[in-house]
Amino acid sequence: MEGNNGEVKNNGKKEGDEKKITVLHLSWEYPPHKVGGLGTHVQNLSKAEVEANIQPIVLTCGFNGNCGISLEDGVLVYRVDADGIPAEDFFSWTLQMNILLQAASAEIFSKYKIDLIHAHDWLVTTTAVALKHIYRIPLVATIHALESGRYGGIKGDRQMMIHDLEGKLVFEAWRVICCSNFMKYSVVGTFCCPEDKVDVIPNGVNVSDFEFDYNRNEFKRKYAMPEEKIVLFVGRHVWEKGLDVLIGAIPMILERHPEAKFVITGDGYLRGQCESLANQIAPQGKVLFTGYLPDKELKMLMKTADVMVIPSRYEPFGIVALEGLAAKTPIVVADTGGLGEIVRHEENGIKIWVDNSESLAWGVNYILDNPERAKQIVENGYKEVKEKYSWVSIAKQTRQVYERILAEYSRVNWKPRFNFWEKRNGVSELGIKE
Amino acid sequence: MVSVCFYFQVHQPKRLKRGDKIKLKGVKTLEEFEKRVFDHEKNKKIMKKVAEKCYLPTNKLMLGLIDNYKRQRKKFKISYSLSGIFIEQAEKYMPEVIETFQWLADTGCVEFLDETYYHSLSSLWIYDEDLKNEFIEQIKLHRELIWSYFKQKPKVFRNTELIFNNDIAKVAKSLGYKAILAEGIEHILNGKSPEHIYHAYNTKMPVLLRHYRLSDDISFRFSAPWFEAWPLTADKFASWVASCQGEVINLFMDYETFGEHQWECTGIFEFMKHLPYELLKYEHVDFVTPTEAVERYPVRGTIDVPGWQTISWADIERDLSAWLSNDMQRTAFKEMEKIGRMLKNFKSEKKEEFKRLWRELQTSDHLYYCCTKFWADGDIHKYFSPYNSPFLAFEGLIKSLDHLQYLMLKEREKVREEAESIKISSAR
Amino acid sequence: MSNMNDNNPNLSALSGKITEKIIKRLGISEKDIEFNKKAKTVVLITPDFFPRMSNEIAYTTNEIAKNLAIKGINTHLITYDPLKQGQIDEVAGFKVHYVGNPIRTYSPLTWSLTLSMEISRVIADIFHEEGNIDLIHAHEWLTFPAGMHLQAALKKPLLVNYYSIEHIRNPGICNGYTEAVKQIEWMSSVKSKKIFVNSDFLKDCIKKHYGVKENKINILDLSAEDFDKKIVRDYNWVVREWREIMEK
Repeated sequence: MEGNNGEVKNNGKKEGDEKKITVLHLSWEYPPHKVGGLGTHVQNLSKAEVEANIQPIVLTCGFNGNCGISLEDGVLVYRVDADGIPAEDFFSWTLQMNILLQAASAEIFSKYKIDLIHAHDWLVTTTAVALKHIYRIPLVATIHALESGRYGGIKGDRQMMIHDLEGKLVFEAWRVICCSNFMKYSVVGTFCCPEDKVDVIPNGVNVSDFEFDYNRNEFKRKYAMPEEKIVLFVGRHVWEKGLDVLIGAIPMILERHPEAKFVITGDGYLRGQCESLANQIAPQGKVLFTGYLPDKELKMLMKTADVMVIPSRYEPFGIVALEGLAAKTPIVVADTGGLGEIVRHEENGIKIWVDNSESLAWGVNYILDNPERAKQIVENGYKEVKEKYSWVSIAKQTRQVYERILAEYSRVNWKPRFNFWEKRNGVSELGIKE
Repeated sequence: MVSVCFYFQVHQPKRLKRGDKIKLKGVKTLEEFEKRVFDHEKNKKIMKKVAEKCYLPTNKLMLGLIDNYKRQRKKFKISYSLSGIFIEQAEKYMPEVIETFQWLADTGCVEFLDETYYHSLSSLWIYDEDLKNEFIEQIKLHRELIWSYFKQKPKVFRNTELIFNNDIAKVAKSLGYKAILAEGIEHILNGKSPEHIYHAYNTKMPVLLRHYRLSDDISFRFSAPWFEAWPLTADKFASWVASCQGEVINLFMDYETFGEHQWECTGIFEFMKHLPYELLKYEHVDFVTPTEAVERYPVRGTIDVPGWQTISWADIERDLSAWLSNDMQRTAFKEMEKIGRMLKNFKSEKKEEFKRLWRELQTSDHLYYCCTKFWADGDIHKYFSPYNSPFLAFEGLIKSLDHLQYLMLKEREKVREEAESIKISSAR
Repeated sequence: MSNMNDNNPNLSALSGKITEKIIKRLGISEKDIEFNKKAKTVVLITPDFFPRMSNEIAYTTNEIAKNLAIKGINTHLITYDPLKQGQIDEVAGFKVHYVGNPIRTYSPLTWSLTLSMEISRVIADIFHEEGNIDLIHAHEWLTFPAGMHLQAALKKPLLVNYYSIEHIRNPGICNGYTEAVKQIEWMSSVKSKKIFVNSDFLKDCIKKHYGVKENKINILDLSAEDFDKKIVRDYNWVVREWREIMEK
């Protein structure tokens, strides 16, 4: 979906020709309720779609009493009350949550004329597939990550169920959107999906979020001494993110740059293990575990850091790399998954071998040794992230996918027999606040 | 005096097609229904095969044996019962077989018994208000059939698969039969020996009890290498029979034992050929038909088989569990009853057609194939079943019964409509 | 709830003139004998059907479907059979659609919730090809999620049939699984338009545990003489009520 220099082709159409497309996004998380990066992705995408002449409607779960319909920045958000769903485990909870989504979807379809359904990840499969068949409108699926990649493989019956649900979603979708070539070939290989069914649209980052003023020195004092260089890790403490690789590289980095200070944010099941390991390897006061930090704080920390390290073992995309580039911080990434596609070695970042602490130590030492080189790399990266990874550009690419689908859809016989929305007093005006 | 009473059962069901091969979409006429439900090719093939392997050679053997001993003091006598649907199918596909049976009838040493024409479980309906006549009707049909083919009026009755209880004996007595056959199992004999004749409880109906040990020696264990007495030779067997203390040794078995269940290479035909000679070597042994047995020997006691303890000769349990032990079989049986009740007040010119098809679906083999027992019994069921699994058999059976009900109700609606339109047009 | 057409002579056998005369004489308005007040296409969803029968569900649905087919109602029955999935059998006047579940699941709850996708697909295809479904009759809690979604989406009434409830199956046990099943059963008892049960005992249980009103529950008596008339009468009543609600 990209041109030679990162511009989006317009297929020779003029602005006024474009029809407004109404898309129903199905996602189980949406800010303010966040668990992973999925919610932020859906929010940013839908906000950007508004400017691309798409009307997004988001159907999602609301917790702690936060349910109802609201209009947020042009996006109509329906939240169903997901409190108090009884379930034996998370997986059956998800399927039951789908029942509530299905009930709410009927209301949406009777009020608005929906052109496409856009499902995000396996959690909404049951609803998405049922809606596709009942209303006979095309389904687009975005696969953010695969179960066979999480936790290192399919190791139980619950994981098998998730794997099959993902497969079903990929099968039923008209087109599949993945965030990187790595994900694309994972999907193609795991589910025998045809290659030309998958489009690669990267995730994005709002560069403007990182453009704010603050007192760098004062802020730095919270985490390190003024002369220390902060080596930052942002991510969940799970196997995929490779925190233990960083811990293993600490002695090698400290040997060469004793002024390095390691700041590790986030939490996860490996935290305890990594903390005790760090206490054994590193001298007192050189490694700081901060736990979860609020958004603003984290962004300030990214801007303050001297190097940001992303030693992931499995990374479908790696939004955190884009955030590092937007914060104008040199990044050292492992050559895996999406990270390997975002970063080109010594052009906009440094790539190291996966799962290799020595390589990671070399990368960090390289950045700390050559500050001018690092500055150049950062400049390149910042320019690129502003042009290529802005949400507006991504929304435009997504719109191209939608248009292609709708063009193909207009030529087939698989159409609904009735217009479900016409029965109910025509199209309702948007801007309803309830 | 020890008398040996041979009885052979000859039966071939009209098999249905396998469940998933029965397509009844848009079937509205009875001819189409019959064509699609019954597996005519398979029935023809099986009839021809069994005739080649069993019926024709064994009949020839029996004729030879009868001829041999006809002029002697002690004659070789046997008895048969042929089910109505066997005769229908043989007439259609292998008329030679009927001819050989007619020759056997002409010898005068062969007796034919009566059973239900369609080899059905209608004897279980004698307690039911609506269906109690079905049993009697089927017996009467069979009686006419035997008379028309073999010019014999059977005097002894045997129910499908030797299903027996006191009430069935009562019905048979009321129809004028002189004796009835049953299985000689321990729990109804209570220590008595099956080698005598007994009265059924509360009826003065003589019962001939099958000597299952000796009968199964020939029909099941003949070629089994694990049998202690294998190889079973005629003299060995004759010595066992001669050493029996009783009066009548009833050897009742399936006719397909000769050639089909026990193949020719096991030597079954040679065994049978020499058996009369070996048996008649003993002075006190001779052959009788069931009627003669009843006339010659006195009744030695009573056996009591109440309705809830009905016995049969199938499986280890020797009761009705071969046909009614699981939900599928019971559901199918219930559907059969339902059709029977619908037929009671059915007014249409096609009533006989419907009745015939219903009766053909009543054959006990259809239920037998749906049995889901394990171990030895399960193996036997599987051996006889032409389908791969009992579920396929059940599917075919329930589909046929359902569709037959549907056709009957459609016919009833049609008749009602015609009657009303006639009423209205005449009222004008 | 009486069906007026039961007492009238068979109209289709007569010519047009006589129909008009009778209509005038009996004072029936055309609106009442409008055929869209009757149930013409019915969909039954059942988890068990012949030859798979683990309890009375298969027998009951078979009886209902046969009786509907005789009355001329276009009946579709959707059931689960992985070996025959995708096939459509037609026996005794009604069609049986077989459906399989491509998702490998680990409990009846997850099985039923993922099977609802396939059931929705099949019923939606029937709806779009035939043009109309009059009502959906779901049997046992395994099929209720699909039924509830279809009622909301296609705007057709849902009838449910209970054979047992979780309070009887697992009395006194209170964990995530049983609570989830109870919630599904309760939601369907609220959302459905009519509930059928097989016995008085179950009717009392449902009234007690799920707080359902007396007149919402009917007892299906399969051995009754006019069972077929009763079931069609109930269906027509539901369709008529639904139309009145929709047209408001």
